[in-house]
Amino acid sequence: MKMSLKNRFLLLFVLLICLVLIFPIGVMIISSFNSQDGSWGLMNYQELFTNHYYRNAIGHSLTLSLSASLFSEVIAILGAWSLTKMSSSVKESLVTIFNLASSFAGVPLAFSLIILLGNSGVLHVISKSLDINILGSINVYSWLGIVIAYSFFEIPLGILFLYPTFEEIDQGWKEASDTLGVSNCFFLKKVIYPVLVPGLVETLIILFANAMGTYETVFALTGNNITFISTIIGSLIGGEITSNIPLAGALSVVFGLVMIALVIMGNLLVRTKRITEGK
Amino acid sequence: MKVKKRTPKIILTIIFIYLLLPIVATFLYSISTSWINTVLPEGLTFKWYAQLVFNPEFLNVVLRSLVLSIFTTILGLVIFVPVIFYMNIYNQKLKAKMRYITMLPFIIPGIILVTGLIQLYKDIPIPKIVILVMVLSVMSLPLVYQTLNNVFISKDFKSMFEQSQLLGYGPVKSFMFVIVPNIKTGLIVSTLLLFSAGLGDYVITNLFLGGNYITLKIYMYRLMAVNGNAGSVLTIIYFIMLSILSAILIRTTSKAKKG
Amino acid sequence: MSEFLKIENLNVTFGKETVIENLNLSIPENAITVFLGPSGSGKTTVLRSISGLNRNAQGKILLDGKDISELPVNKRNIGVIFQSYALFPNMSVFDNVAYGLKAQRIGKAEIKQSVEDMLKLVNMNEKANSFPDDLSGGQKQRVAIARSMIMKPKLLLLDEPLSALDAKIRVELREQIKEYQQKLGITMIFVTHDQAEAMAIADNVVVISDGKIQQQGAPWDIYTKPSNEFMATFIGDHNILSGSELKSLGINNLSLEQKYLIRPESITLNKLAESIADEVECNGQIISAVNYGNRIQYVIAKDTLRLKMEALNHTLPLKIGSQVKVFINKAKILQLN
Ligand SMILES: Nc1ncnc2c1ncn2[C@@H]1O[C@H](COP(=O)(O)OP(=O)(O)OP(=O)(O)O)[C@@H](O)[C@H]1O
Ligand SMILES: [Mg+2]
Repeated sequence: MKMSLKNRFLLLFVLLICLVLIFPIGVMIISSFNSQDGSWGLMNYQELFTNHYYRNAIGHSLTLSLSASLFSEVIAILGAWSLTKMSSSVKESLVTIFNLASSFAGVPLAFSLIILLGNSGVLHVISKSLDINILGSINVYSWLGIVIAYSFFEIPLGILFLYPTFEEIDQGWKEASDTLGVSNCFFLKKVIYPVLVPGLVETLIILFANAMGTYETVFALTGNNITFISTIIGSLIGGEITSNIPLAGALSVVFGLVMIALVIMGNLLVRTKRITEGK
Repeated sequence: MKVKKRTPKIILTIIFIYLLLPIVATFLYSISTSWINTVLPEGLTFKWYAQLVFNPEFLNVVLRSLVLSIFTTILGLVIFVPVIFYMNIYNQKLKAKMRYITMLPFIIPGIILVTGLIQLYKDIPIPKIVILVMVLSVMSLPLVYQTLNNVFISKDFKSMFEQSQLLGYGPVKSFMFVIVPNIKTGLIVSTLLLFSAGLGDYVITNLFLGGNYITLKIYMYRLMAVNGNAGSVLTIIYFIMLSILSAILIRTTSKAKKG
Repeated sequence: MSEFLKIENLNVTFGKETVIENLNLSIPENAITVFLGPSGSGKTTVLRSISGLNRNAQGKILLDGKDISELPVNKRNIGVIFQSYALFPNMSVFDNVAYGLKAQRIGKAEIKQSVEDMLKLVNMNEKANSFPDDLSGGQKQRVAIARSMIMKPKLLLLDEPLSALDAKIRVELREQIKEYQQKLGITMIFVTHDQAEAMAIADNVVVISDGKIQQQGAPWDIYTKPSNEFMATFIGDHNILSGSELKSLGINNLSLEQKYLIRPESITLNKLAESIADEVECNGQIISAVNYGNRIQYVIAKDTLRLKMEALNHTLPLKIGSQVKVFINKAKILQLN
């Protein structure tokens, strides 16, 4: 049977998606119900939710992601608002820089941070030679250190996502003051509520999801020592003695469900935003 | 007006310095002879750069990263561009469904996907590097899809494509002669996105190939533990590569906006 | 040859919706055939089926005696002009027009000569090096027409080619299209919404509604001899009255159950000297008057009946509410079936 050119391409595309996305995810879900000795059941999930080690890791991931994304969002709000006040050429170059900064994550970022803040890092050296404590209690390998590390890519990411929202509000503000004179109540109802709130929450969700999914940066900073969902998955599949791929699968499924819940929440928000805009 | 602008300027400057600090420190570190007990490095030198760049292993690493990026880019372009074109022009229904699939790599981070990949391909005798190229191109699908989608709705490509066929060209030639030259911006942006996906990945490459294929980032990770100076040099080189990529990216998009 | 293009049993379905059902149609050579029909009636679908762009068309299409139904688009030698011009923005006007010739094995010099001649014909020779984005809508469409005509297509299909242009350019360009057609002897199918345009340009009109052909014929026949009530109401202004209603106006010996068409211009305010014998006179009151510039359309009320009529605008307009006498030309009353 002769297949038309477009169908051949479509087939290739579908095949590609299946091979590297659908099938692996499917296999992962199925095997998460399989134990290492070959029996089937919910034992992996049971293990995840009863073993303190894993429960703690899930808890760590959630709290760390929440603190990192909240911290970054606050700064990103300031940044995005400031960005709207700049001239358009400055805006353009700053957007480039933020874009660059948001992609400078992972191993190189971790390495730079160790050079900056590490035990024999630049700031340590400087503070030692000046005999004052610039760093206070900041330690890159600690909880606070990780929040700071995340902020280096989450702040620019947040600014990039929030910036269009603030542009819109800026415009709305100008229109409102041009046509009606400024009434705060009107502004609150027409702009802040339907535009700003969903924009902020949406960005927070994106930042949170991004923090949850981060593996490379923490791994490069701390190895598999601090227990997060992502680093545990990493060590479970890393081929070491602790290797337990079905358990990693179960953890991934839990993780995936959290992500999907977040995305659905985000979608719902965007929809309510559209409805209120329609009014 | 000027007073009004001062606060935002200060805020942006602080953020800017904050974000730049690690890079500046790394750069200084990479050009210092030694920096142990002094406020400033004892002396400046490029010897670490020379050492790294003339190291044959470094060249191999760069080559491996380039190979990975180039194949990822080619595969992504060859498959995504025609398919996204087709969906936009002839099959809007499929396009609506496809939106969810293109979002998947966004929702599923590499660390999760790699779990499934390892299981699926552990006993299948396909070279893992081939699978890796496929994975990396699919991971950049969300952004590539968005980019090309915006390009394809910007003009009446359907009529142009049909007109070319009416004038005697087959579908492939029509695509090459009247579609490709008019979506250059989108193609350049997609190329850069795919290329950076190949260059920037660490998780999947490292875990899926079991550290057997040493790319820039993996090499960087290994250097970190062994040789801080060389590691900092590599970090700076990587940063410069990223900067060049994003500079080209912004140039292309802003030119397209103006032109 | 009056069957230059012959469509037999054309069927087109999109999903579950049948858009064209068992359509049969023949089109004469070296003439302009106009497709006229309400929006969504399937005109574009028929054109796309003829050109091969519509891949789910079923049926037989014969062009110049040859079955082309199975040929791919690029082998049919049919030109199509879209409303949206579809010029290639990356090529100059010259390259746009030369594009189709380049696919054939033709020498460079020869291509150059043909393109220059064609550009001269459509009066675009001075813009040969411009790019499409720098042209006006009318100029773009002229380039698009040149690009298709240079291929010497057996059939040129024009799908509302003038709809995006302003009124003055439309009239100009449609006359030019007619001129090109006669000069080059290309068979054309021209789709339009505009009845005046259709009447002006057509040698042959096909009226389509709901995927079916309502009537085909010369423009004059379509207007004066509509085959059914749809045709009567679709083309031109009209009064449709039943036999009994006409009887109340004093027109007898018509079948009371039948419906009849009276065009507004068959009703006058003045007795016409030459047709006295055929006229019926009745009284009425003007209830509306619309000024169209050179003519005025009145609506006259007689009891519950409403009659549309037209008068040339050379006298002072009559006021709404005035009592008038109108004359209906009996010979122009058409029975509808
Ligand atoms: N690709 C398609 N998919 C689904 N339905 C279609 C498609 N193309 C046309 N149709 C349907 O076929 C019918 C006829 O459409 P067509 O475009 O042929 O009408 P038309 O007579 O050209 O109308 P217009 O005068 O508005 O251009 C319409 O009901 C339309 O919705
Ligand atoms: Mg149409």
